[in-house]
Order: sequence, then C-alpha cells, then structure tokens
Amino acid sequence: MTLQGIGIGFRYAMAEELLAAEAPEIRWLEVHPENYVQRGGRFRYRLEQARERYAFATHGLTLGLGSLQPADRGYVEPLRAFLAELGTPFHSEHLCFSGVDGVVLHDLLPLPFTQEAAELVAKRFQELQTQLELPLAIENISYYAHPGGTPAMDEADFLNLVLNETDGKLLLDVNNVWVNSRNHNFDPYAFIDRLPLSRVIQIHVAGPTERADGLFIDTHGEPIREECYELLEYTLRRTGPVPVLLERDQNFPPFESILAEVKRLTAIYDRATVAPCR
Amino acid sequence: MSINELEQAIQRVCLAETPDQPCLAQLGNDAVFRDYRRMVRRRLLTELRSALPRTASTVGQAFFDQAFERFLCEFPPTTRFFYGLAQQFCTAMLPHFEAALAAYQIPGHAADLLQYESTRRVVANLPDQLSAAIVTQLQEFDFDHPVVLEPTHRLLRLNHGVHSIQEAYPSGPTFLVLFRPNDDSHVKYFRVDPTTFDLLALLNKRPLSMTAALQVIGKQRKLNIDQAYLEGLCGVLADFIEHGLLRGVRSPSPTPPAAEHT
Repeated sequence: MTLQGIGIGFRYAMAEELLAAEAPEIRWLEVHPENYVQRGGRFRYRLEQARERYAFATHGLTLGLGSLQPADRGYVEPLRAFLAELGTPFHSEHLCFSGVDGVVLHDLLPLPFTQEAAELVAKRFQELQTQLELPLAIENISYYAHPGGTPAMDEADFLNLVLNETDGKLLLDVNNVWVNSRNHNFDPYAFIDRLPLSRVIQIHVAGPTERADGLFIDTHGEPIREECYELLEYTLRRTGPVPVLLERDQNFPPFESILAEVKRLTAIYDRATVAPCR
Repeated sequence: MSINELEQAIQRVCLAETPDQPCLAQLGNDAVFRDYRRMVRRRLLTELRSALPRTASTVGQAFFDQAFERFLCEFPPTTRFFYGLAQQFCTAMLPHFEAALAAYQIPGHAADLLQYESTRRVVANLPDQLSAAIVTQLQEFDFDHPVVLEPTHRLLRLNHGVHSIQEAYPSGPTFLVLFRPNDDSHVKYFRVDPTTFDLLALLNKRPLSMTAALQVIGKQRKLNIDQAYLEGLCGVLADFIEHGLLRGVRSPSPTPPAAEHT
C-alpha cells in the first residue's frame, strides 16, 4: 500500500464528522498506535469504521528513539501485530525521549545534539525496526532548549548524523522546522536544503501556538501558518510527491475549517509536485 | 554531561515536587526546562481531572493536586496508554485516599468514587473480543456448561453507593458489576447482592457451570438453594443475558464419529 496526497490525523474528537463527510481530498489517515493497541470500545469502533474507507499510516508517541532503555517487548509485540493488521507501509517514531527507567512522561523531550546521542538513536532504531518487521521513519521534533547548554552541533548536523548512522527514512515535520527556526533563530529554508531530502517518506504540517513571550509551542492546536504553507511548498518542490499529513490534536475548529486547510494543502501539493525543483 | 545524566536530569525536573535546582543548572536553560516541567505536568493532571471528574470535585483542588504531586514523586506513570493513567493513579493513590478518609480530611465516599471512576475508565477501554476458541463453542445459557461472561466487565466492592449521583452517600456495602456489552460502547452496571457478587467472582476465576459454581458458593455461604432462591437467581441471570453481561455457555459440539474405511 502506498500513501499519496494529503492525509489527516485520525482523532476521536472529529471522527464522527470525518466519517460522515464527503471529502475526497482526504486521501489517508494517520493514527497513534498508543490510542488503539490492546484497546476496545468506542475508539476501536471508530477505527474499524474508518478502515473501510481509508488507508492508514501509524505514528508512535512513546517509543522515543533516544530512550536509554530498549522498548519494552510487552508493548512492541502487540504494536507489531497492530501495524500488520492496519497494513501500514511504514511506522514512525520521534527523535526524542519520553522517560527514563520505565517512566512515561507523555511528552516529546529533547535530546542533546551529540555523537553519543546519535549512536544511541541508531541502536534503538535498529532494535525497533527489526522487532516491528517494517521500515521505520524518524521525525524531527520541536525543541525549546538544548539540554546541557551549547550543543556540540546544530540540529541539521545532528539529524544528518542520525540518518547516516541508520538506514532510516525521514518523517520531516515542516512545522517543527519552522517553530525551531523561530525559537532558535535560523533560516528554515537553509535547514531544509541541508537535509537528505531523498529520504523523506512523509511530511507533517500543523499550527503552533505563539506565547506572549514570543516562544512558539508545537501544540497542533491552531491553523497552519502562512509561513508554514510556504515552507511546505518549497520542501515539496524538492522532495517530490511524498504524502503530507495535517496534524490537529486540540482546540478543534469546525470540520469545514479542517477541510479548507486540506484543500489548500492539496492545491500546494499538486502545484509543487507537478513542477518539482530537484 | 552524558546523555544518561541529561535525560535523568530532565525527568527529575519534571517529576520532583519542586524544580530540582542542581538539575536545572546542569540542563543549562532554567526557564525553558521549567516550561517543560509545566507542560508535562499540565498534560498529566488534565487527563486525570478529565478521567476522574467526580473524584476531583469531591476531594477539592488542594487535595487532588497534593495527591497528584505524590503520584508523580513516588509512583510516576509507567503506562504508555494515556487512557490508562487514571487506573495507575487509583492503584497508587488509593491508600493515600483511605488514610485521608480515616483522618476526616476528605468526604467518606471519596475513595469509593476514585475506584468507581477509574474502573469505569478501565471497562470503557477493555479489549472486547472473546477468544476464537470460546466463540466457536458459545451456546445459549444453561446450568450445565461453563459460563461465558462478557470479557469487558469488572467487579467492584465499595462502601458507598457512588454509582448513582445523589446528594449524600450513606455508607453501606455496595456490590457492582461494571460492563460494556459487546455491541455497545457505553459502560453499564448492575448492583448485585453479595452472593451473586461472589458467584461472578468465582466464575471469573474458574471455568465452571452455574450449577457447579452454585454448589461452591452455597457451601461457602451456607445457602439454602431452594426453589425460591433459584427462581430469584433465574430472574437475575435473565437480566444479565438481556443486557449482555452473560454471553452464554461454552459447550463443545459432540465430536463427529470418525469416518470408517469401507
């Protein structure tokens, strides 16, 4: 199964409207397995309904690839079975950690940009990809500070190092690039140009929240910003037609607003991938 | 600093009752790592308040926040399922609630509410499929074959009837079966008598027929299982069947005779 065009994050809060809508622009859906693995009830019911109409990608929330400990097998095996059941072409996890010694803090916590961290990520990546029996992609996160002070390298170098240390694909979150560029004062276009774009397997876009102090937080709770649409088009012209996901996880607007964003993303996708600039 | 030390430091900043100053100093950006702490804690607390609304309201914000602090410090979350947080909180904090009850710091029914709401959350999310082996042998209920209960149920023994919202909750033993019928996503409950509760608990432990289970419970409780008792039980079982708690019995089909060479 291949994913093409624009997808959206399948969230329970908007599942009913999504399933009732005639929305051919929405080509596929993405789920967080942590919301479905070993779970029944209304969440599972909605998922089964959606599977009749849509292809799925999966995107993990808690198996951060920078975890000090290997993923627990008690979760990985049911996760593998869930991914196989959905028929997802690949699975993705974040370039972060979510807890130490079995604790799960339910957040995407930043890694230091160091050789040691890249080697740890490579180790976790290979373990997980082998256990899941599926290609694994790595997503760049929004980070608000570098742990430990001045980093040994910048984020683009770290991301390249990680990708060089693995055979992983890149899930490129364009919104995270933009958020980081604003919070850490760098050029997002130059950042994109430094990445191995041939390894991009999927793109994420979302809307961040700007705090009163000027810090942008990756909330997935606002409309996509104009700057992010522009960065997406720039990126798609260079990657070619990789699937693009709209993430909306809170502060849900009327479903028509989500559809309007999907339509605009579709127009960008069509324009950029018809006339790529590679 | 090694990645090990940095990750440990970030976790300590997020979980400690007050931000850990040496850890913040190690991390190098005091203000932003305090923001991480706030974001992590806000997400977890919001989920717990949302999952346990009556409990939070009954004990008040100060007590609930204090229980949350203790939860993070002593029993930080280990579930990767967000919807599982309430159950972990309940398991970890129930003794704390019970101690506060004994000291009259919170209303008498608060610990029961905590158990009731977290169990509802568990039942709402339990995987709902009988094993294939059971499905192929499932037959209409009778007294002679192993009973099959809806797998999405939990038994709950409380000291107050908090399952229905009232102005006051007088104390008294309350025996509940919370369940989610297999064709429904809503959690329902039966309030049962202590004998039926024990019967269901036994059927959860061992694959027994109703007759066998009645014999065990009858002996334990010195019950007089007469016609009147059986008629009452049949009424209860009919309710269980109608509402989907009792799925039937497991009755293997007779093995067909082996084919003969002629």
